[in-house]
Amino acid sequence: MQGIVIPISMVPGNSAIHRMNPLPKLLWTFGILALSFSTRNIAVLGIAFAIGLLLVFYSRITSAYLRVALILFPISLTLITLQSIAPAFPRPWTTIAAFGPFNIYQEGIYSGISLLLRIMAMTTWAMVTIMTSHPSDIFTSLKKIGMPYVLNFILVMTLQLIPILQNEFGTVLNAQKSRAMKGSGFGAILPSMVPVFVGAIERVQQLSISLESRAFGSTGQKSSFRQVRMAFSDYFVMALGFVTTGLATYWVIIDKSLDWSKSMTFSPIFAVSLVLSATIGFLVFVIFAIRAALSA
Amino acid sequence: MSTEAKAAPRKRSKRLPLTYVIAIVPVAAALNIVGGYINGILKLPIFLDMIGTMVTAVVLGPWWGALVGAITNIVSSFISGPIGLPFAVVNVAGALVWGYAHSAGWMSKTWSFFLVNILVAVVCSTFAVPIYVFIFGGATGHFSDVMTAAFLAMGQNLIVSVFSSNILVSLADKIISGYVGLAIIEALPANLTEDTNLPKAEGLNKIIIPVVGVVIGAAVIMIALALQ
Repeated sequence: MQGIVIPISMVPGNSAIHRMNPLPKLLWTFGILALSFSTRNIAVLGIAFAIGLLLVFYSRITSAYLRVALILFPISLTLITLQSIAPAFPRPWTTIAAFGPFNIYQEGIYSGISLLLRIMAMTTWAMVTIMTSHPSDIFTSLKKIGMPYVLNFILVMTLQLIPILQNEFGTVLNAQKSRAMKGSGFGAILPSMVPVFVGAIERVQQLSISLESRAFGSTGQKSSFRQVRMAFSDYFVMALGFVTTGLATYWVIIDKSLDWSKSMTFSPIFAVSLVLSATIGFLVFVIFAIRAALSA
Repeated sequence: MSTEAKAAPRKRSKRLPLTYVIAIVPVAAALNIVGGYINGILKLPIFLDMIGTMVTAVVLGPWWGALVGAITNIVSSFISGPIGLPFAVVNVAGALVWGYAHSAGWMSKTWSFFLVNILVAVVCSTFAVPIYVFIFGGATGHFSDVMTAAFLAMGQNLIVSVFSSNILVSLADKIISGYVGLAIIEALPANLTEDTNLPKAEGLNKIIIPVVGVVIGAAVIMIALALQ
């Protein structure tokens, strides 16, 4: 598996968002997460998504962000198709057009668009946080607010082990190839997991000894290689995030007029074009996926 | 009655140094993530992201397996976005079933080991389907979504359709994960596996036939139920 790269990692930069402490960014992200799950109003979700996009452009992480958005593309296509014909809404549903053996429903189009905007808003804000913060800074900040040291160690260790295990897979697959065995695809990947995992476990013993020798289990103040400080501006952004997302979430919960699923209408031409293009896009993806699976 | 009280066997995770156990968790979680990522690259209709969970749940105990499951989804949200985060529940549920089934001795025979993997698939689908339906509108991004659309066309509602397509994928995934995990456990150092009570690992090629059989059987049952 040589050549595999981690698709999401910190994109170096010097924007104000990059320089910000990870805690305010995490708070905003969780606030947007709470807001997104509290409403299906497409205007609210659209605004949250649009602000997230502005932050993506401002922090100059656009190309890395677009690679992640590409992962979401097949899910988006299926979501629109499935929701249009079987909305995740209580009945009765209003039919606006027929699509082969299916009916396209008003509530389905609304539900598809709102769920898509919800996923995009959540992902965009999370990507801004992850791509502008060093993982160690995130975990160091979380430790400062009381996250257990052991849990912190496990999370950091997992992130560090991923590229190592990927390289191990590459080595094992190359070794298989050099012995005239299958070196790619399903039949090669599954058996190669055994030596990779067992090799990693054998290394655990050395890691355990080095942890013991550094008094891992001892009590007392732990120090960290990376130092993260909270500036006044970080406290301000944090307070702003808490108040803004808190009030917005409260508003969308109590204001029942924000449910536009029945009042917002879509023309049959728009509905059919949307579902048709999503279905064609999804079928193209399926054909591509089946070909990729068969060639593997 | 003998005066020598027989000491109750201590759990493996209690006998091993804590640092050793703690070091195994990230290895298992990283294996899950790499497995899932490779699966994504090959565009296979399974997940391959619970092999490390299975190994840890059996070797160290259900709750260590659950921790691996949760860590897998938390860390993978740093790699492929927050979409996988809600599915931590599924990974944790799978770990608990594997771990407690092993503690109860249900995984000691070849046939019971196979059945436990099927049980894990059913439990995982039960937890995954509400997440798919209420958070992602039934979409998975897999080509199993074609099956969901087919079940919808047969007149099923969205939840039943997503469950029907998900259980087929989940059955294949959990049985394969179970047997790859079994092969890994067999190759681990003896201090980790001396108390495990598992059948002998089969060649992975032999697993494909029962997997295909179970998936086809489940598909036939689902289609028959949908057409009724």
